[in-house]
Amino acid sequence: MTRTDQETRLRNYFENNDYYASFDILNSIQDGYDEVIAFSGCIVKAAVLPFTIGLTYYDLITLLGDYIGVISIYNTVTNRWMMPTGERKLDKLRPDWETCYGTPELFYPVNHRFMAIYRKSSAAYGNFYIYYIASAPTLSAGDSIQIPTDYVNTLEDYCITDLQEQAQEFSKALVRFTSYQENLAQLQRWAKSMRQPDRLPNLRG
Amino acid sequence: MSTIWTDAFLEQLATDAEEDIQQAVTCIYHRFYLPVVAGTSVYTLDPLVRGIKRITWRGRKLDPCSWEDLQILTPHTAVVDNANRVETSQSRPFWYALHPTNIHDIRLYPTPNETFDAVTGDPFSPTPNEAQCTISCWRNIDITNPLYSLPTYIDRRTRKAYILWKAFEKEGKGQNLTASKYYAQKYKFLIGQFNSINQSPYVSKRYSLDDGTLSTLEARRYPKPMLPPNFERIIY
Repeated sequence: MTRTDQETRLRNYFENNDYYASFDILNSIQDGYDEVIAFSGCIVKAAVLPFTIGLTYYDLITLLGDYIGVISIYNTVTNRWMMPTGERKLDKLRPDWETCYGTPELFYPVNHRFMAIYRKSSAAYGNFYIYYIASAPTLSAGDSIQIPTDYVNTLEDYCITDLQEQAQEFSKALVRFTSYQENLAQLQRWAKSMRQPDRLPNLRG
Repeated sequence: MSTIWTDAFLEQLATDAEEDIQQAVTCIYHRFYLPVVAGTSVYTLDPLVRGIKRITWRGRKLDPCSWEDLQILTPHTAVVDNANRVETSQSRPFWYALHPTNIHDIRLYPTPNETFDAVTGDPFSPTPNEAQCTISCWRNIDITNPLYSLPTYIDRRTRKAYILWKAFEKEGKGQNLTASKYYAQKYKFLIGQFNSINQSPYVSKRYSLDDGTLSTLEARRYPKPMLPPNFERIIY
């Protein structure tokens, strides 16, 4: 489905479809797309980044722009996956882990922006592949919306809620908002755990 | 048509929104060097610091302790200000605690025996044995600096929901409690979603999958003596 298709669907929903200007509808679609993608994690990407000499804390929003959350990291020099860990484990490993030079083996996501690695390189080292959840791009008319077609109602619910808010129809908006929350929860569930029902139940996150 | 809400009122709500969001989600990570003077153990942190995450001295972590623990550690030292203090032990600090002279004060113990300028270096790229005291913390939002702002995918809509929640609640013309309730619900939903992103739910899988490298460290315990089965049993 493209942005134009979504706009047509919204115009079909509203009886007097001249009530909302195209500008309002398109803004709503973009806003909804940004939110649904950020909250559901529907867009995953991979990128190649260099290990920076001496850097422990990587600012991934600055480096990648559309970064939301990390999935995995692969060290291309050792040809090994780097393992996720937490600050407490690193503290137990070494009280001065932030300053250690050596082969990068572990990574620790600090918050929505920073990720620390253990250990860091002291000289030009190489690259790592990073797999991450990305935020939504800005849509043009013919761009396809990267939400599975059976969950497209989520975005539509958002847009209708938003447009009804603008018309100060808060009771109607609340009904749609409830529907939006339910559909979003289903989309999140699908994106995180329902795509591979074949896997072992004890590995479910 | 007259204005329902003035710009000044909406700006005030925008600031309130920022404060409310940072209370609800601890999300802005910051690192900085603390200027340290030899012989001084109490330092006042910037009020922008919301919570201390970690303090390192020459790259090594200082252990956090409570004020009560610090009193037990240092029964012979006390600080009120520069003129009134009893400080005897000076060395490399190993502990820190919040200090009851100011809500933003911390005290390092033992009292530092070195002076660090906090000018050179990059706190995000610490070097081994670097002559710095580094503080990792959660700090307040600052929209003038992108590094300390909320990410774009959450910022505007969350702020908007908060502002409209409070604006529709305002006494007088334009009050609409249905709308206010609606935006309150929306705001809480957005905060909840951002909380789960900020806590990296994708990585939380590590607890069930285990990383295979550190689990033995986690399970390590100090040795405990095994007493014989007849210990303290008297057989007449």
